[in-house]
Amino acid sequence: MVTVSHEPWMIQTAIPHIYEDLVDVKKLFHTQYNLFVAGLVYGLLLDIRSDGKPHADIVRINSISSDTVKNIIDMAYLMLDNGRNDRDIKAQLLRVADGGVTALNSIYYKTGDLDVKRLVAEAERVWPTRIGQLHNV
Amino acid sequence: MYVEIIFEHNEHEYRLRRSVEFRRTNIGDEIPIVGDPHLEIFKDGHDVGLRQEWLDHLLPMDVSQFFIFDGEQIQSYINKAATSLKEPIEIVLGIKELLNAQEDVREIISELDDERLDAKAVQSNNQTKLAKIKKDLSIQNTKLNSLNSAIKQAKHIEKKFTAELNGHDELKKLNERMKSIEDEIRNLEADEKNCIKNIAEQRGNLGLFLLKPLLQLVSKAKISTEEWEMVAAHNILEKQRCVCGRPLDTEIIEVISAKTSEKTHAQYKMHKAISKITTEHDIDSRMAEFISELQKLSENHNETNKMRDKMLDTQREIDAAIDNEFNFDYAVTKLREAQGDAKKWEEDKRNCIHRIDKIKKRKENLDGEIILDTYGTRLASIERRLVIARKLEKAIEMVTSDFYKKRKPALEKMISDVFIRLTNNPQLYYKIEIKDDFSVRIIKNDGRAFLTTRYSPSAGASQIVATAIISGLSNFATRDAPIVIDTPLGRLDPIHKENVIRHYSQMGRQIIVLYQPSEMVDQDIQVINNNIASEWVIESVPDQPGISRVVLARSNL
Repeated sequence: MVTVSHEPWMIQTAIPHIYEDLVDVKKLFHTQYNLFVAGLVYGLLLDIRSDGKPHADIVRINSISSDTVKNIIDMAYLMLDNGRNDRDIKAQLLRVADGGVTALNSIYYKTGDLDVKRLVAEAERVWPTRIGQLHNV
Repeated sequence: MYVEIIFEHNEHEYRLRRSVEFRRTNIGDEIPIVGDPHLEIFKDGHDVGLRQEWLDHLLPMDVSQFFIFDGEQIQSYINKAATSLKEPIEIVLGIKELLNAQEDVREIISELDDERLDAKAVQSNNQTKLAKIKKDLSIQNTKLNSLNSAIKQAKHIEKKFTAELNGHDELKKLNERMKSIEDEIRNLEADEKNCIKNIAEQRGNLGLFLLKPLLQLVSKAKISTEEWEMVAAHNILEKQRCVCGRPLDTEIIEVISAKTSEKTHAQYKMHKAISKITTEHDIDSRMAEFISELQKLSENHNETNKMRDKMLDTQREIDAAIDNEFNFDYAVTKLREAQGDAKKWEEDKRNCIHRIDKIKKRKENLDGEIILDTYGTRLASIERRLVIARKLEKAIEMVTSDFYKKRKPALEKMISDVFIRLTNNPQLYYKIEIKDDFSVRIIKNDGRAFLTTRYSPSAGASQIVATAIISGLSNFATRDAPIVIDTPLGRLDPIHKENVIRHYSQMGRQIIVLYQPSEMVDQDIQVINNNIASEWVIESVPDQPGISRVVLARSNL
């Protein structure tokens, strides 16, 4: 079964400075694509997306070694697949990811930490209401 | 060659032989004597080994002159009576011994004077020594006090720098503790760094963690038959095989494909993705790991904070212990100097005490000597002996004088009696007087006194006086010895001669008269014939003019 994670798609961001800050400077994530995936799921959870046009390359998706990351991206793609064309879905996916990353960055700068437990608790609280809005689930 | 003389003494016969060795020479040449004359004494025919000392004891040299009447020398007793009679008179009066004792005492006094001077010198020397010892003692005591002060000062410095260095040791310990804390903090920081790295890595699962509630919701939802069929159809289509594994016909594939749509296809993919994530990734385990890592980071952080607090406390202790002025090398140098000084001065002190002990010992000894001197052992003893000796000297002097005064009349009487018997005019003379200066005077019956050299112009008269004096002295002497008379009669007139010859038999127990034939003829000898024991003649040996021999002419024994 062919999935989006198998494509040589370059995932990009409109907020590379946040990536640089949280990954390269604050060392909160090992790689930028880890932050990308976290932002993507958080964006999906809260249904938020960035208005900025992604332009900064992060990584070509098929070069990612982590199956987990790939699987999550595949899932997110399907959740956003409402029958539109692939390009729109991917654009939407990048904006959702940037929206999530921006939200996480705000949390970090507000609380001084990315409290995973709190975020997971939030997810447990939000997903039941959010699930119905997602596609293909 | 030898000469022998035989005499009796205390009922024993003694034979004296004096011999000398000589070399034979031609006639007329001087005979060279070899070695000293040799004396041998035989008692009752046996060599008793007695020598000159025994002889001197028997007849002292000073007394022997009264037992040899040498007619050629006898005149000197008259001509120089004061000098030549002084000693003989002292001897026969027994004064000589007293004078000898007096001389001995004087010698003793002289020796004691010398000893006293020595003792005084020693005493003076001891005082000088004592003064020097006191001075030495004072110097050493001053030195000891200085050394004690120096040692005390060195000990004080040693104690001070030891305390400072001990304080420095405390600082070193604090620094070591600080270093240990820093090392521990560094380790904790390294752990924290690793922890943060791990967390960063595991935080990469944040997307997965956030999905978990969704996945749980999806997995709990019941799959409808329609959905089940859709899944089964997509499975068959994907594998191109039946659920039993048999390959599908094209016709069947077309039927199944007709039953699927794009929507159902997407749903199928979602189902597959969810299934894959759920089965392939142990989200709970990763979550637990992540939380554990967070916990670890928190604990690490707390521990790090504790260590930092500890580090601050230690730093405060270090700050308190640090003396900015402290110089370790200087302190060590000073401590070693003080230790070296103390050691050296302790050694000096021991030597000083040793010297003081020795000086004190010397002082004690000297004090003892001085005390002994003060309380009259040596010097006082000498002084006492000197007093005694001087008293003795004076006593002897007095006794001598008294003795002389008491015995002189008896001697004068004895000499006078002999003189009266010998003189040819006894009515004219009263007595012979010996003056205190030992000059001899003839006192006539009319009271006039004449020196022996002046009382008569006749040489024979002077010889009579001399003979009387010597004979008197001989009689007065306590010793019993043979008397030898040599050519005594040459100058005498017949009356004097007969008187003298008669007197010979009264002079002693054994008289040896050596006379020339012209001095005593048979008529003269007849006067004492009953008293003669034997007569001997010295004859020349024919054809040997250098040799004489003594031949017995007559014996009455």
